[in-house]
Amino acid sequence: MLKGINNILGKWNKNKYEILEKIGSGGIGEIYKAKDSKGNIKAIKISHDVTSITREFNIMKELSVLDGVPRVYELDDYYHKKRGTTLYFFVMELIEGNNLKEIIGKKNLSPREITGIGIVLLKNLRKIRDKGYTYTDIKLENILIDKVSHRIVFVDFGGVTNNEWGIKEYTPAYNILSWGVKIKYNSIESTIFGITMIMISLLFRRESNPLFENISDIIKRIKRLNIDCRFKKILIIGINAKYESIDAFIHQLNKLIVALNAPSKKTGNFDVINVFFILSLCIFLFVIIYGLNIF
Amino acid sequence: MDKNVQFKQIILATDGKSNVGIDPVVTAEEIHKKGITISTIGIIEGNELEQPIAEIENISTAGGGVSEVTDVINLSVTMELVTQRSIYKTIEHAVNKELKEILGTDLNHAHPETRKKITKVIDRFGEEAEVKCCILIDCSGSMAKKINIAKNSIINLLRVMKARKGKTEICVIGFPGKNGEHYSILCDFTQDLIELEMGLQKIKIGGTTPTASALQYASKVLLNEKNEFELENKGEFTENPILKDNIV
Repeated sequence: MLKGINNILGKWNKNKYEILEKIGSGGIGEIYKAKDSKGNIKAIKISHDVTSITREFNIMKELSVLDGVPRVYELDDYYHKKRGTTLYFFVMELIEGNNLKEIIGKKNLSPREITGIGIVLLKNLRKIRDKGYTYTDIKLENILIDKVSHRIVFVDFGGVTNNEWGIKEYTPAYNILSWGVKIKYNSIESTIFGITMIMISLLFRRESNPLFENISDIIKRIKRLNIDCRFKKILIIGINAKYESIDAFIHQLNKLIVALNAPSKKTGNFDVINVFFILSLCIFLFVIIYGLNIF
Repeated sequence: MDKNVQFKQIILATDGKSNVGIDPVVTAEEIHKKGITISTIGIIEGNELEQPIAEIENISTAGGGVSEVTDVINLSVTMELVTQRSIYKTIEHAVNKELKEILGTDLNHAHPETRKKITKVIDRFGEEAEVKCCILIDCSGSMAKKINIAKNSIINLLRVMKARKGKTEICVIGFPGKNGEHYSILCDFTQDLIELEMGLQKIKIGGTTPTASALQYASKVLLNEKNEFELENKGEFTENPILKDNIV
């Protein structure tokens, strides 16, 4: 949209931004890395669609106080002279990092790390919910981990709706209705389901598709996994959206993290230490007995 | 704007170009004049010819709706997106008309602060609006491999739309229909998922792509003029056999 444009000037607030590079594009617009007049690096989301840009800015502004939401600064228009059209944009904090899809493409996450991510995401969504909104377009690409601070944030608030309202944007893999787990929509159940599916994608390092699989196939795959049984149980309850609240789900994941941190009897290291200990005891006894025999 | 206004829309999902009957773009324009929005979805496979895409884009422009192209894998998301976007487009259009009368300016030229408030009103309308959506699904031979996903996408659409506050009714028309007819109604307007699923089982694949007559029929169904339309056409159809009988 801003190909060949170096600077943009806001029509209403008269702020100027130097456009550095395009960093992404979504359903309604494009995102650019930009520098404001003070030299600060920001991100700019720009689109032809005035309602979508205004709506997204409004919601992000309200949620901006939360840790899991990028800050937003201003909303303005830019007149694209060459094309003779007005574009609508807002300025937000630039999150430099990778999204979860990029991360699983590169490395394996441990069950402990996955549980940790799940807890942070659920806490973020609970706080968004407390402000009256539901984040419906849960998917790996919409979750970013900051390279430096390791903060986990959601991006793309275009599909966020009021808690009592229906869904506008979704990705089938993470949408409870697409899998037919529930027929009647409920925003809490759909959040619990979505985050469970995120954790499952992270575990398998691939995304599932309701066109080719059904929930029982996923449950079978979970059961076959070589992970802690308590984790499997939590995932299966989550995938059926059987937790009564987001907090109840977080509570179970917290308990799991404590359990995963505690030393387990199954690990190989422990056996090595055991063998070493018994061996040294034998040598000790042998030396004592041998020493006694000399006297 | 009346809060209880009903949005009447046609969603045309096809993988090809109309090849029987009159120009569907002309038909779309006529239907749009009656207060119906027509949106289109082009289902493509890899690199296909531009021509069918151009036609469906023209149909949606004439019909006041939106147009999207998708592969069959993403059909369900696209179907929901197109349905919602065309509702919002219609609302925005109506709101803009009113704004111009009151403020002498439209949404695109209003101050961002004013816009924020208007967007909230638009969103509420979109959530609470009563929607009557007629899906026209291409059942010609080339759809054979895609039809199961298309059926699932329609069911999914009703599931998602039912989550809204406003009432949603869906009707499905297949084209071409059985026995050489141009169209057949698979499921009349319903809010019930099971009824819809049963209706979709009646889909039969094979035949031509008579887009214009299917569009015409859909508009009659939406405007409750179905029976008159069938009578009119029955007249035409029955004349021929009588003639033939006479000849024999």
